[in-house]
Amino acid sequence: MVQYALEAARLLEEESVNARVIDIHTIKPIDREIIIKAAKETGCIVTAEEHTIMGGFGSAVAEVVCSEYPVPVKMVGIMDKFGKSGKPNELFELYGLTAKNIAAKAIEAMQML
Amino acid sequence: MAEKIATRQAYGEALAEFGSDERIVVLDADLSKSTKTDIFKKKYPERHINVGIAEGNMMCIAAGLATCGKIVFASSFAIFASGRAFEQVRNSICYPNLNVKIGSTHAGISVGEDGASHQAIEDIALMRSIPNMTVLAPADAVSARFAVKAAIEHEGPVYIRLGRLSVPVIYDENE
Repeated sequence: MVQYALEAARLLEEESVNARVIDIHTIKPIDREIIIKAAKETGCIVTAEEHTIMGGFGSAVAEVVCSEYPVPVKMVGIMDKFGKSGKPNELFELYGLTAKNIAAKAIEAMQML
Repeated sequence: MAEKIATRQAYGEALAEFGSDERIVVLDADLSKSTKTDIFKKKYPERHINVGIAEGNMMCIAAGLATCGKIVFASSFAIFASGRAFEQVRNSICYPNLNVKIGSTHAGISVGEDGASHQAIEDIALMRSIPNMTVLAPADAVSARFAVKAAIEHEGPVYIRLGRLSVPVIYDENE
């Protein structure tokens, strides 16, 4: 999803929104410091994962944020559904795992501030 | 357009690259052409074992080998490695904190046509819930190579989440 996050940052830049992209390559143990720093400096977070949002990467980030420095966290991922047979790009579109959706969630998160 | 390489490809190549360490043993559950551990097998056939379609058993074999000082890479599709073999991963590998690395390919929906039965979208949740487990999710081929290297250097269980699909290379090799 990092490639889509980078693309989303470019889309946001067109709307004069400055977004930081962090690649959390290690989900456990998670880099608490970098997440808290991002929460403090940016004010809101969007997580993106090719995984269910139930208990996955977004949850791992939210666990850190809500206990250390609460800010809005929006999650892009599979919304409690099973997958389907299809071409990968079609499935990414169907489940909203796209740069466009990440950018939209960022706007939503900012509106919560 | 950036070069595209699947992280599973980088995984297989990294195993072969770092495979000169004789403590490394690679297990596979009859999917070595897909998990790319066949690249390691060509170079070090004496340290590659195809256990057959028996993922639970593979995790127990991995645990046993780890107790003998081996660094074991147990490879399968994410749906089987994290799902079918969950109890063996939890009780036989993580509870005794053994040096087993789970190379888990074909994670997520990007598996594509194989459909819901083969699309692991719960594996991060399952694996990160187990004490002692480290969970890595490399974004590209460069990151996947480093994930394998880090897993070898780390003492204890590691889950490496890898994809089937070719994805753009984001990082510079020298980064």
